[in-house]
Amino acid sequence: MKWELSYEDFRSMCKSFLSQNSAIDVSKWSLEETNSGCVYLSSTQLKSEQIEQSADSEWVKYEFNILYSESFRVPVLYFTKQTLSGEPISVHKVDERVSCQQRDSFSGECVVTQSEHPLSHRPSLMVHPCRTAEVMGQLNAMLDSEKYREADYLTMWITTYFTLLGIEVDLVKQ
Amino acid sequence: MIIPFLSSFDIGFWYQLADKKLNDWKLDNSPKIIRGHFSNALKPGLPCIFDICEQAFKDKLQLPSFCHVSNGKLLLANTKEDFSKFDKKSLLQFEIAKIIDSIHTGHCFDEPTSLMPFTVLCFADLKKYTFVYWCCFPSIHLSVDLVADINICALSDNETAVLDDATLCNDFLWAIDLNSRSNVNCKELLTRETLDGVWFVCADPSTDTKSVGWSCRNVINALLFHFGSKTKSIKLICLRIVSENNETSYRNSLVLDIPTRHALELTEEAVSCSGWEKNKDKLLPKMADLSKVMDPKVLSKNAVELNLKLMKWRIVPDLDLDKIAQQKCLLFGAGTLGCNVARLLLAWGVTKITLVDNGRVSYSNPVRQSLFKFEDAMGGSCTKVEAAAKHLKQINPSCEVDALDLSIPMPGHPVAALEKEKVTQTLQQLSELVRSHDCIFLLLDTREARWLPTVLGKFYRKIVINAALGFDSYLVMRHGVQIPGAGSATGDVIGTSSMLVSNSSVKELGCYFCSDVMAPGDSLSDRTLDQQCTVTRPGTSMIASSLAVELFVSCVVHPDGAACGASICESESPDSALGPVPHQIRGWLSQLYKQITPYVEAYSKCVACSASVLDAYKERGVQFLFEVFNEPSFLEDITGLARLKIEMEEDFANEIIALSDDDNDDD
Repeated sequence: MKWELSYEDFRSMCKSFLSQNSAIDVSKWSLEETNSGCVYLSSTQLKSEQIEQSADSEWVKYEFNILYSESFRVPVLYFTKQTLSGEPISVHKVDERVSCQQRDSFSGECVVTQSEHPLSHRPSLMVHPCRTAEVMGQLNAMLDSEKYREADYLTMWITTYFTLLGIEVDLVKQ
Repeated sequence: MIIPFLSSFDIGFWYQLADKKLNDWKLDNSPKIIRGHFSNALKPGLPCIFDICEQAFKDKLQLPSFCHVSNGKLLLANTKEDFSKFDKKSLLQFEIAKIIDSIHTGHCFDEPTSLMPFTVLCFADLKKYTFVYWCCFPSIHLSVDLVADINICALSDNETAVLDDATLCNDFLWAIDLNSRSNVNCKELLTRETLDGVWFVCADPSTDTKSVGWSCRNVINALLFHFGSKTKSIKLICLRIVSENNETSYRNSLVLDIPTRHALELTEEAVSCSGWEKNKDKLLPKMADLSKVMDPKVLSKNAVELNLKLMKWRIVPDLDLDKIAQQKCLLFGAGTLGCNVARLLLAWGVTKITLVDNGRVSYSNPVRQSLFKFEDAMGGSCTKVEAAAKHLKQINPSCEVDALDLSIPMPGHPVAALEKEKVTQTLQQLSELVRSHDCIFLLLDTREARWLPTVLGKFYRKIVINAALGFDSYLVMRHGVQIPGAGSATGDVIGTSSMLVSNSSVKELGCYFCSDVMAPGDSLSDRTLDQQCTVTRPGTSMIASSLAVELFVSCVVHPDGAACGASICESESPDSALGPVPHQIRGWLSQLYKQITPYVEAYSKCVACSASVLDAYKERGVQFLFEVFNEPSFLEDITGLARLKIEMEEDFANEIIALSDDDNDDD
């Protein structure tokens, strides 16, 4: 069972995500528009992470872009991870984190690849959207569908994939 | 009390710098204006970041709220030595002098961010795509006594209430008049007699509960200089903004009560200062290595690897791509088959390829031999191996191709006495080549040319892939390797029965010559022109080359490597990640594109791979080879083929008297 979105769905979900979010701290997220008028979510975040295993934690800069994929009809996460010097952190390092974080039920669902960022045309990491619809479908089945609100899709999606990638999610302080 | 800035560069800044240096500035190293920014709305716990982003070269930056722009300079060093020898002390003093001047003239209140300029010293190595840099944030120290006397505390309720009423300003430095409950420009305050009821506010990039940010120090100096005489104590609110749940609050701000009684002499001679950023507590520069994303060769290498990894991640998780990529491949023949095989090896990530061919590119070659272009054939044409190597490098700059213009000595082509020394050298070279590679491809255009590489390949236990073409037919096969303990039976083509020759009962597989009972001889002289150049349907060679490479890869990833048993039937469960591995693939385009996968066991009397030949080579080496080149029937003698033929003829003569064509004959 797959959970796919239309672009209009995605757009209204982005707006709800930013305005009605009680779970994730959205202060660092903003809504942007491409030259062709498509919306996407953008965020720059600083996190403290271990880049090498058993090394000290360092500050790492993430730049997230959540765009809509027409062919897969789901959101796609593009992100770059840099040191404070602006040096990109390689796919291999991200790969290691992904395999550490993967749980059995989602093994193979989170494929991180390096690809050309559709807006900046620079190398960027991407979570390939091929399994997203399935993953979200599975999640939806596990939840109480009455409680579903528009904002929840993106919140669930971000929380799921950030966790799989080993990236800390900024939660709202209760 | 004061937390230094932590510089943060965006990769976009480096891209811009590289671009401008290559295209606009070139060798012009005059200081360039750049802009950085910092924010006083950082999440608690984050360091005091000073951002230099992609917009650094613009005049006007588009930034989120609560960001403050600082004007700075980019100083480029031409060489690493220039960078190291740069007089950092002088630069700091120069910048400090400017700040002091700005304070003296009051300009600092017109443009408060002139209190917080910065400099980036940089050496950009645009061949290696590395950037060595050092940031300087000039800051005038406060006297020790003063620091000890400054009172720092959190925002009280009273102060919160005042701020609530006032209009929060996004400026770097401003003031609040408590009486009128309105914002006041600091410059205006210069004309007042006293500072009763005035609070200063500055944006504070620090999030620490006890210390303020680097930028505050120069502000304190400026305030003391101008207002020290008007009041006993200056109240400075170091404003921090917290955005949460769509609400902004300034509850993390700190309040400084600065007593003015300590003497402040704000001159270049009197002040002490610092500003060069420390790298992990040491006064050292930092570096950004961007070769992985800027160096086109690295980008290419990574992209090719990534493409292969996708195969592994999505479809064949057990595929050992590294093992394939590390194979050193030796290609005998750089013609139709050779060019295509080489190209496909690149696609599998193989980078070490050696090409052996003695030909030059002719005008008929480029259409069929995919690594050659028309130019390669023109006047004084280049050798095939040179041209092939050149084009392979144009396809993948990371590949390492050795191009050897060598002729392979062949049985039935006697070696003249004059040539003997040269040929001996060639033989030693060929032997060493086979020994030092992992796999050899036999892609030659005659039967006899394949003899020597077959012997060497078997001798050195390498993977040997052999491809041969007919007009519209092809044979792609792998030669057997010695299996310790297994004897070899007399070989016949078993055919396509559904029987997997399992590893436990595997017999040694045959080579190209195992099905023959004649030694290879001179097949070239006396042939007509069309027989001398291999005339085949063009697609045949492409098909054969593709199969050759895929067969090779299947062997490499099979746990038994070249010694893996031959699969004949599709449904056999494969040990290899890439499916069952046949011994031979034979196909005919004109027979409805039929393709079969037979296997042939090693023939005990084979003229190329049998024990008698290998032993002779082992014992007598080059001498043995020369005997074969000069008289190939010698091979039939030592393998016992000659004797076998004599016996067969005798049997034939003795036992069979007549053959009847009549089926009804009862005999």
